Amino acid sequence: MAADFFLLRWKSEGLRCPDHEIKLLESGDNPRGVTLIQMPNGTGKTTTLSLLRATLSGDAVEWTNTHLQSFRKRQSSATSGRFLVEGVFDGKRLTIILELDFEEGKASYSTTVGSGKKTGFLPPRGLHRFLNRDFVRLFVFDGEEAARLLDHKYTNAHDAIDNLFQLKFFDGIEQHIRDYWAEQTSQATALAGKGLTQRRNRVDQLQLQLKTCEAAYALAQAERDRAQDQLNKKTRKFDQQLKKRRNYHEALQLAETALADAKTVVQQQAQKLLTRIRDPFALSAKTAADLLALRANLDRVKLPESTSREFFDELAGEEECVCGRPLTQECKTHILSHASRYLGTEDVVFLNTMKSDIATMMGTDPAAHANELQGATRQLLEHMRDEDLAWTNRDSVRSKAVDDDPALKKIVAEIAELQASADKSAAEVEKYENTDESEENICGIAVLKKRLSEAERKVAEITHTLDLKEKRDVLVAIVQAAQKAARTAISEQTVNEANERIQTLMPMNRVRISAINKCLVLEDQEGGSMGETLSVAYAFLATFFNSADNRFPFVVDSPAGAIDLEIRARIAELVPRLTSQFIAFTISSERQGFCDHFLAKRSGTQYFTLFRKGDTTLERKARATKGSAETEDGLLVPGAKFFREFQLESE
Amino acid sequence: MQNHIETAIKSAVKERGQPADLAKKLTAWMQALSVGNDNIDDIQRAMQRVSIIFETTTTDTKGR
Repeated sequence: MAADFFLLRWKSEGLRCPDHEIKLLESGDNPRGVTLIQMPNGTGKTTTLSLLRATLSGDAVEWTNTHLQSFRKRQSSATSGRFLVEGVFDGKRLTIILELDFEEGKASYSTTVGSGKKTGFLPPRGLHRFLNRDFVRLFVFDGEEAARLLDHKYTNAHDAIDNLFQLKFFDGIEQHIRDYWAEQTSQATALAGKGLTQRRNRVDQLQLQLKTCEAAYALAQAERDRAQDQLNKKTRKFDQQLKKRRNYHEALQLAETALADAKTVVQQQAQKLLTRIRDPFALSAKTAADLLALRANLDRVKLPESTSREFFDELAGEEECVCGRPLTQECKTHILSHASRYLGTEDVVFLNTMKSDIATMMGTDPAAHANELQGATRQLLEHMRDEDLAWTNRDSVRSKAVDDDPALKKIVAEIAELQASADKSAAEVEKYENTDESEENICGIAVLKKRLSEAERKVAEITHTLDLKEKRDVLVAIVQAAQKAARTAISEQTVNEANERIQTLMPMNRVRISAINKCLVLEDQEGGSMGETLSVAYAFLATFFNSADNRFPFVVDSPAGAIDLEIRARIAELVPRLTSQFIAFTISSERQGFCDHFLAKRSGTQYFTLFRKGDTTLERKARATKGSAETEDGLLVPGAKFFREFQLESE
Repeated sequence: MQNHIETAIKSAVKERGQPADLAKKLTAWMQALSVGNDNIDDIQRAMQRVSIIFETTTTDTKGR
């Protein structure tokens, strides 16, 4: 978006310079090409320039109180001052007002774009990036500081180019790229390549381990199933073989039936015992006695209900609380009304249930239950012995049968072997089905899968991070390179255009611009005179602010102050031709050579003379001039005649 | 001057072996900012743009 900006007027009230209003219009909304404003020393030229800069840059809000007070009108009771600048940006009127509150020591702004007035420094979007301190300093320029254009300590031409040609957006894009990466990776725990290698190695190791274990697990399962299958077959074969020996078969059936019965009895007795030992009073006669004593004591102290109520009843009857504070009637009433709260319904129910259970379940003999449990335990032991006997009896029958039959003997040996094999493979299978998550478990399939999944997640996390980082680095490099290349190309074009204009307009000038490298770099800088050098500097600035895409006013304080007389005419001839709006603050001593050049032409230039009141002769003469404007402390006189004839004794 | 910016972006993208589409997206963003259709301070909009240019950018990290 090209920027087209020019000034229409400014107005100062209640500030250190005389109150005045400078109108820069020629006709309608067209600005004058050249406006020369003559202000003798002490009128507030520097003040006006500073206020112009401050109003256009918005930086007065950062002023210190001391600096702000330096703009206060001398010997005035005014508590505030106001500087208004009106201009046109891209065809729309823009008004910025700077208010200085000297009592509060604060600066504030208001901005009007079109008809909408808003509080604050709010230039329209397209102009905003230009209206900052550094940029405004270049187009509202102090001629006595012109040499600073050639000094990188004072000038940052790169910034100016970046602003003017919108290369600043590259900085914004780069920052957004960095912010995006930071946001995307804020949860990542490892960012380095080393971390990625470690995590990838971990995944590789777990994948290998899992693959090995899964293969071994499948083998173990197959082996277990095979052994179990063979074991079942052998067992069936043994049974069939045994049936052929009738006498052993019947004896064995009886022995196995007896064994099954014995097992059932043991199981039932164990279950009964398990149920009984859950009663604490059955485990120990002492425990039972203590529980009975607890119930009796609760009855004795009338818990759960009466004791608590009695306590508070008694407390309410005392003159002092247990904490030592006196109990007023109000306190006593409160205690009585809230006494029941301190032993809740649930507590009461619990205590009553416990007392009831002790009474109904335990009876009165504390040793009865313990004795009963001991009896049941003895019974279980007897049943277990019976079971052992049944086992022995069964094994005995089998042994006899096996001893009498070599074929059976062989089958039994095979069964034993198969059983060992089945047990071994079952243990092996169990190893791979272990779900214990401790690090010692290095075979559990489910655990390994879980570990692998976590390791892969971590790799994905870091891979994503590194991928984003690489993208960020590539994008930042592209943005920086593009900005640098665009700046170089634009600088070269600007330099070429400026040199071409200097060549056309000032063919005798030996100095040319070599490059823009932070500051302006001139060819053969040592060879040119000060006048030539500054001519080129002005030419550059004017070209810069009036490129094909952009148009800015060029406001200069003391444009000829530091230049020799013979060069002044050249500057006077050059600068207005390079810019569409040239505004200069001069003093009468600059008339010679510089202003005279404009005065001689007598066309296209607007003249103002602004001075403080004090010289009655001058005041009379000014008042007699058509169009003059008088304020409390100054007179503004338009016209070339007054401008030419103006001379103060002090100058 | 806009041509200088476009050329500079294309060149920088090409030098780093990135797809031409990335240059188009960056140029489009710069143009949107330039004509005022986008505001560089609009973080939400900027994050949408950045997300797209990240997707367009190629790397070989995942392939290593």
